Amino acid sequence: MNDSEKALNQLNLIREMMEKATVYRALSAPAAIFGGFLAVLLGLYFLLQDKNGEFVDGAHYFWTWVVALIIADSFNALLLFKRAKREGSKFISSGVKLTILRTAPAAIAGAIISFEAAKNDIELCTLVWILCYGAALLAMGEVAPRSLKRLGWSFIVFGTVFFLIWMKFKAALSPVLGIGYLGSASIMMIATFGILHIGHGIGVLIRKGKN
Amino acid sequence: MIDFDKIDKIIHEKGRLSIMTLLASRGSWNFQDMKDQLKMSDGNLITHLRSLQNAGYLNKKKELKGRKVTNYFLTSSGKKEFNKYLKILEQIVNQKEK
Repeated sequence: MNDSEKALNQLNLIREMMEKATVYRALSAPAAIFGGFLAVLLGLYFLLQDKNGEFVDGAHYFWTWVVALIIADSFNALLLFKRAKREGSKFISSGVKLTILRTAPAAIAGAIISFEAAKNDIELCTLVWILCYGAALLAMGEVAPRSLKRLGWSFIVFGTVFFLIWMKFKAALSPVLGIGYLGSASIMMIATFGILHIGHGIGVLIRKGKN
Repeated sequence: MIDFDKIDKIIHEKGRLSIMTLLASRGSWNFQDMKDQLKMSDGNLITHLRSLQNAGYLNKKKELKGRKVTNYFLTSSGKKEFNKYLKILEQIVNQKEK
């Protein structure tokens, strides 16, 4: 092995360690796809309720999505636990701790504001979820792989556009699509938590396959 | 002409290079997290940390978080030497490409 090859080996070791030290994939691709499908299904269920003219109050809407979040997060945690076991590393690693610490402010603010917003306006509640989720993903900073940062930006862009429409028309999509507030909120959830997550998961799996 | 004789032998060793890289990537690391990340034994890790500390490349700070936690971080001299080491590696690789 010549000097150049030795130097490259050392640089590869440095790169590997830097990635290990900083990058933590907090959302596994299969969990993103699973969560995305769950969001699409639940969104379609609420959309159907809206089309049938059935009344769904804010608390029902809020807690149904919270249960979906718990299911999706539990599945994600199970996959992360399995990955940690396979790699012989700790489940509660420094990456997990850092991820929790960084995402906590946006997650806590989002939970409190959306809980209050849901009582009066489920569209506003949905907008808070979308924007705070995007902010939480971006708050992970260098800990997050690039794909998660892109997902965070997508949520911020979608959330901002929906929010501006909501500000202008006092409703997000209902006047544009001719549907009620519940239907409008459901479409926003399908487009963001549903389709963006599925796209993210498939994108990660494709890149993984190529590598 | 740059060769490996010019390289800092303290940093160059694989275990110590990994420690330096961890500390350079993310401020400070406690002993346990570092041990989990590097998959080293206590004795091995302590020996490497001691060598780097004796060279003046890193320092430690003890904190009480329910139990005693020792945090390690790079000194300014450690950061400087690590950057110098990276530059030499880069030059060796570039030398070959030319």
